Amino acid sequence: MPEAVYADLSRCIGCRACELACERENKSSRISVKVLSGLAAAPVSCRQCEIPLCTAPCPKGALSCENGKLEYEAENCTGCGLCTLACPFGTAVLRAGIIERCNLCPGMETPACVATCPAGALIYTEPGSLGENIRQRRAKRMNRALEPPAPAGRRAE
Amino acid sequence: MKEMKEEMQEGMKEEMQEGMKKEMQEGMKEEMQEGMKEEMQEGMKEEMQEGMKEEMIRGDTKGDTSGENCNKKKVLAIDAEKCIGCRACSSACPEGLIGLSEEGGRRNLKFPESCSLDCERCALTCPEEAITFVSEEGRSPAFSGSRTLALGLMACRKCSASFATERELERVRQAVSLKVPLRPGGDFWMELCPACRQESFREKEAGAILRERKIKGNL
Repeated sequence: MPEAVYADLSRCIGCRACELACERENKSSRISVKVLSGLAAAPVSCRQCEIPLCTAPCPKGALSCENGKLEYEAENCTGCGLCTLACPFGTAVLRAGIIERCNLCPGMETPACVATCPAGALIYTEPGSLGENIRQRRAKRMNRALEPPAPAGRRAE
Repeated sequence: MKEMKEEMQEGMKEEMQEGMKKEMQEGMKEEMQEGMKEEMQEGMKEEMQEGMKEEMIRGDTKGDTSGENCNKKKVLAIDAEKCIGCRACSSACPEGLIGLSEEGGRRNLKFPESCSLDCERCALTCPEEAITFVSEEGRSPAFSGSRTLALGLMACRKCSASFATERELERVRQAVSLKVPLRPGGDFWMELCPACRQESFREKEAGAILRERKIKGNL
């Protein structure tokens, strides 16, 4: 699986520093953060899919995927925008005839958004190293939240 | 066939008036002899009847064959069946001659009959190869005149904003299903506009943490 920017939503504080960092680096932000129900903030950017569907309808092969890495050649791009319709996450945007999606800041060690995130919520890594038990950890947290608070003076066992 | 004949006669007359009489007669004869006859009778018949009917119904045929265009070498031929309305040609045209508008659930593309530049960028950029350039003599009457295509738009299931033409989505669906087999119900996102896709993904991602925090908040 290719490397990508992943978000730890329990850490994200919704400050949108990643958006600004991306804009500074790429002239327009390719990551977007929104706060849902005033409770949780969630950044969304290109998932760097293993089988990228955005490349499927490309008529001139401007978007292609080699060895799990997405390549975009602007000079071959016709600006038809079919890739934006094929992306299940809506993270490919056609702006002024050019496809804009997260390219993980080529030339930088870590993408600008990850380097900037003050809460350490953005992680640039392979999905395998994220910890396979992320669901289990979520479930544990959920359980802890569901437990009634321990009465004062006694320690929960 | 009647329509075809009429159109042919009209086309012939116009071009004859434009001093093309001899060329037409010679050119046509040659072409006809070269086996164009069969093509004309089979292919043209269908195209003509379908194409012309559509135009007649929509009432947007603009026989713009005035003196201005007769000097130009090449004319645009649009295949109304192939065009998916992706707007690539419109953004490629350096002159901005391909008009775009969206109203009443339809995307309208207005193609000029010809253009003064010799660039053919629109034809090269078209993903469906719906645009071709034909020479003035060799053009078929079905493709003459400036054409307006009206393509049906799909409305987003969530925000009900129209975001793409039905043909665009059909093409994307085909291309995607070649790459990944789509389970029934696994293609719900196709009916959402890109912005709503992003939102539904965000909601799904944040679902667990939202539930957790809601529970915490209530206790």
